[in-house]
Formats: sequence, structure tokens, C-alpha cells
Amino acid sequence: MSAIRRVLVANRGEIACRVLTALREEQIEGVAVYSEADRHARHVRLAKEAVAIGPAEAKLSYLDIDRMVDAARRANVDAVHPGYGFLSENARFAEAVERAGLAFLGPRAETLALLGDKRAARDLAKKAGVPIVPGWQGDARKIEEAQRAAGELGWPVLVKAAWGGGGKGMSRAGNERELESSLEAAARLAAAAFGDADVYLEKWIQDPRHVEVQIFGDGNGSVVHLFERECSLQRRHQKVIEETPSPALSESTRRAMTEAAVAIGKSAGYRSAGTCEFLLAENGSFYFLEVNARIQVEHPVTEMVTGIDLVREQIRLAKHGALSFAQKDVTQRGAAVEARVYAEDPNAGFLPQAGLFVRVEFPRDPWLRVDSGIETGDEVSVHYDPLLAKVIAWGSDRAQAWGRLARALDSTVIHGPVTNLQFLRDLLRDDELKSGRYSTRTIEDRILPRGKTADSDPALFAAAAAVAEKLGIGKAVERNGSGRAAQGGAARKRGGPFDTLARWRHPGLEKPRP
Amino acid sequence: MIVSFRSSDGQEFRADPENYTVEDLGGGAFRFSDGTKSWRAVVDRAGSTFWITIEGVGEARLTRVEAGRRRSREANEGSLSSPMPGKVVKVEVVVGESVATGQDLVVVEAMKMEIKISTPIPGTVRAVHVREGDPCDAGQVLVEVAH
Repeated sequence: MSAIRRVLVANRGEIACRVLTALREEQIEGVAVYSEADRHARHVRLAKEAVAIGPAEAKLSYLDIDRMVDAARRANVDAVHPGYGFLSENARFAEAVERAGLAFLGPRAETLALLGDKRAARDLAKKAGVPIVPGWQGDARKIEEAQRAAGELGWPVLVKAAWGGGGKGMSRAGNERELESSLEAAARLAAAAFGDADVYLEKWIQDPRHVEVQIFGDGNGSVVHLFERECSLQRRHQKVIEETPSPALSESTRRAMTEAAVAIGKSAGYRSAGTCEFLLAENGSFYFLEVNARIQVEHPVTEMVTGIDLVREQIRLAKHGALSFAQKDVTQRGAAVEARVYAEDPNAGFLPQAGLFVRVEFPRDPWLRVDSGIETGDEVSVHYDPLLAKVIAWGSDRAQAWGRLARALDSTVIHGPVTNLQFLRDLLRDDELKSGRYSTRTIEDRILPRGKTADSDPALFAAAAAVAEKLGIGKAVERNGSGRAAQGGAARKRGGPFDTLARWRHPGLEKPRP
Repeated sequence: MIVSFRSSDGQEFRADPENYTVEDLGGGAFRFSDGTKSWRAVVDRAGSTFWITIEGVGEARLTRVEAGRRRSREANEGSLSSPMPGKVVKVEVVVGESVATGQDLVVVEAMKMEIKISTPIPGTVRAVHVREGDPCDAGQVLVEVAH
């Protein structure tokens, strides 16, 4: 419990904007941090103050513990909010923040250390009586031992590196030979990056769903849940669409899963917001995967149906030492669905895109929430995650929420680097998805093989462009000195005549180099 | 007057603005109709690049093709540049080498990915501006190819 008047937001992009907004609501001064690439970013413009933390490369800025703690000291803040990604689950960072006498608006350092080790997290779940996927853990270099264990689990198996996460360090092995090469790769990567060659093998679950439970703990043994989020719509383990309630959970499974999450949270003495991830098999049985010890990207859908502001609760917990709500206050009202807008080209293998956005327009419809890290005139650089914004719709039921989100994406305009907007629009209109029939395999097995996203009517676009040109609609966009876009004048265009021919070429406009 | 646009996959589309009635809604937005159907669109442009979003239809980026120089020169020579800042990890051609459409010329490593840069036309390598191990900037010309 401590007085909190100023908070450093140790992150960037949409989540930094989101946290700054919550701080403003609590009448707390928010201090942003920025790398050289983010000098003019939206989160920097939104904050009352902003501190430079180093070069564009994340390792030397957003991932640098010393620089971040130094920034907090210089900014004279009382607390640090880590957001997600970057240093958010780094135990050494949390420790350094608290050693500097500041509050860390997240779990305790020792909780992060414990949950960051996936084997320890599994053991914790086991002790709490929560089912885990049948598995084996051991040294990746002991290949024969692993092969024997996999045979007992039954092929195929999932190979996971202990240090992995977010889809990294994971592979499927269908037989002894595949397992051997997976283990060799895991050992090699572990040696190169972390020096820990431990892996675990898990029984492969066919077409599982990914359902997670939001928990919130006060750090003194009290843990509540805020129901589930359905996150099965993924592409290469990257979530694309999330919703709540899950269309796949029966009332009894929901009760069992939320109870399991609370049990895990309690045995970890969890503080702040966290998420227990589960695999849900087709027969309704579920297995604990891991705890994400941070605020999640997809937290808004939970906020929409429960009416509880999770980021604000993180701040209030540090201020008052207690939660402002009890389990009985948490109900699911209606349904919410979120789409993640990425600067990625779905027609070029989802290659991240960079450049200047000449126009960013989200609708302002009722029942809609937009968490965006960009506005017109902003740039997306190649240095960071290409997540641009999240569009979230609420409805009194699932169908209404999906319909509202589909229409919202229809009237969203993002001009500049290629985004996945059209891919999202197609997903929201897919009948199978609309009816809730999907798994973690659906996008890769059924959607992506359809190929290029609907290229509706190229001639119609040419007609619109011709009409616009004739009327002088849509004047050229140029950057002015402050790094923001201005109307009028010829735009600076880079690149050669192959611009429109090479498949990877989506240059947009380039910011003049300083 | 009929005007031409090219899509990012190289296809060309012609349109006559006289065939449509238009209502300018301001700020780059307008409604247009072909007499039977009407659409709401938002357009931005930078030089010859047009970004078009048509509500309920989708979006596209088109390049205006000027009359008279339609593709002829552009499709016959050009420079291949790096899409992102990174490092050149492989140069697979030398000056004077003939290359086929789709052939990989350079591999750039950026964002922990290897990006193969291939030529969209057949021809001869006129210049190679980088060596393996060189850092490269986004937009930096790596190789030039001509028929």
C-alpha cells in the first residue's frame, strides 16, 4: 500500500496508450518511455511526460532493465506498469523496480520467477489438483529416454522447450525420427540463447481449443476469477480473434475451469492480473497450460462483459492493498469479441509491414471499443511487434457482438502499409466461425489454404480511384517537421520502378531521416 | 477520359470516371454510383499511389499508370531494394549473370527472418551494390536488373 501519484509506463504501442488512459482516470500522472524510433508515437503524445530510453533496438531500450529503472528514477515516479511483452514477466525487472523503492504494478518478482519456469508452473498446477496434459520432462540431450517416454504417451507428441512461450520453441513430432530432430533443435537453440536444454513432451491433443481464465489476486491469498476468454483463432500461435464467453464451454466445465484457475492463483499467492491458459479437448476435458503473469492483449473482452477495468484495478491494488470487488460482484453480461489489427500482409505470408499511415479511421459506433497505438500520420517500424490496434465489440449475445464487429471493421479505414484488415473482415463473416465451430487449427487448416483474401472487384477500385482523381478527392499526404502528416503537396516516394511488382514491396511513405 | 491503374500483383485496370455519378462527402470520402448500385469510398493518394477503401467491399492500393509509358520501360528494368533494415546474408548473383523470373538474387535477414529478394522479370544483372555481411537500410537498392 503506498501513495501513487506518478507512474512510469514501461511499454509502447496500444498497451502503453491503454495504461495511460487508466492512469488519467485515476488522476495519476503517467510518464511514457520511448526509443528513438518512437519519438513521435501516439503513446508519447498521450502522456504528460515522456522519457527517452535509448535506440530503436528493443534490446537496448524497452528490454533494457537498467535503462528502464534509471528512467523511472529520473522521472521520479512511485510505480511502474510493465504492460505486456518486453519486461512485463521478467522477474529481475520486477525485483529491480521494487529494490529502487517503487511499486511494480504486476505480480511479485518471485511469482514471475516461479511461473516463468513452465515445469515449476505445471508442478504448481498438479499440487493444486488441476489436470495437466500428460507429459514427460527431461533433458533434450537424452534422446533415447525421451523417445521411450513419447512411446508411452502415444504419438504424436508436442515438444516444448522449457524457456519457450508464445509458440516459440514448440514443435510436433509424429515419430522417433522427428522427435530426435526436434530435440536436437531444442538443445541447440537453448544452448545458444539460454543455456537450459530442458524440454518437455506432451501428449498431442487433436484440434484443441485454447480457453483461458482471467484471474486477479490481492497478493494476500485472495484470488478471484473474471471468467474465460476463448482464444482459439490463432495463426502460428498468434491470436487473431478473441471472445468471451467461450461458445464451447458448458456451464459445468466453465465452473470447473474457473475454479481450477483460482486454485492455481491461490497456490501461487498471486498478486495483480493474470491469466491461466487451458487446452480444451473436444470431449470437454481441459488441461492447464501456463500462467501469463501480466495483463493480456485480449483483456478488453473481459472488461466489456464484466464491467471491471483490469488495468485500473492493477493501479488501485497498489494504492489500497485490496481488490475493489469480490467474486460475487463478477458476472458475465452479454458477449464481447476482439479483432487484432496487425501491420502484416496476409497475401505475402503475413510478412510484417513498415511505413507511414496516411489515414487511420476507426468508427465511433455505440458498443464499440478501439484500443489503438496509431493515428493518421503515425509510422509503424520494423523494430517491434506489428500489432497496431484492437477493435472490440459488445453485444447482448454472441451473434450481435460478431455482427457489430464485422460492420465496424467494414468502416475502418487504414491507408498506408498493408494490414490484415481484409483477412479479419473475412473471418468475421465466416459462417463456421460465426456459429462458434472452430479450434486452434481452424485458421491454418481451413482458412489459409483458401489462399488470397477476397479480392472483391479490382475494377471497382480502379473506378473509385478514377473518380477521386477527376474530382481532386484525396489530396496527397506529406510529413511536416514535427513528424505528423499534413495535407497537401507531393509526397516523398522512395523505391524503384519495381515497387508494384515485387511481392514483398509495400513501401508507403518514408519519414525523412534526421 | 479513360484512366489506368495497376494493382500490386501487376494487373492493369481501366476505368472511365464519366460512367459514374459522384457526391463528394469531404475529407477524402465520397459516394459514387453507376446508375444501379452505389458505394461509399475513402481515397488517399501520394504521387501515383492511390489507397482506396470501399465500405463493405474492402481496400486496395493501386498505382496510376500514365498514358504512353504504360509498363513498357518499367517492366524491362529496375532496381531491387531491401524491404526493411537488416543485414545482407547472401548475394546469389554477379554482374552480367542472366536471371529468370522469380529467381532469388539476395537474401536479407531482418526481424529474425530471412527475406529472399527475387526478380519479377527475366534479364541480366546490371549492378550489385552490396556484399554479404553488409548492413542495409529499408529502400536501399541492392541489385539492378535489365532485359
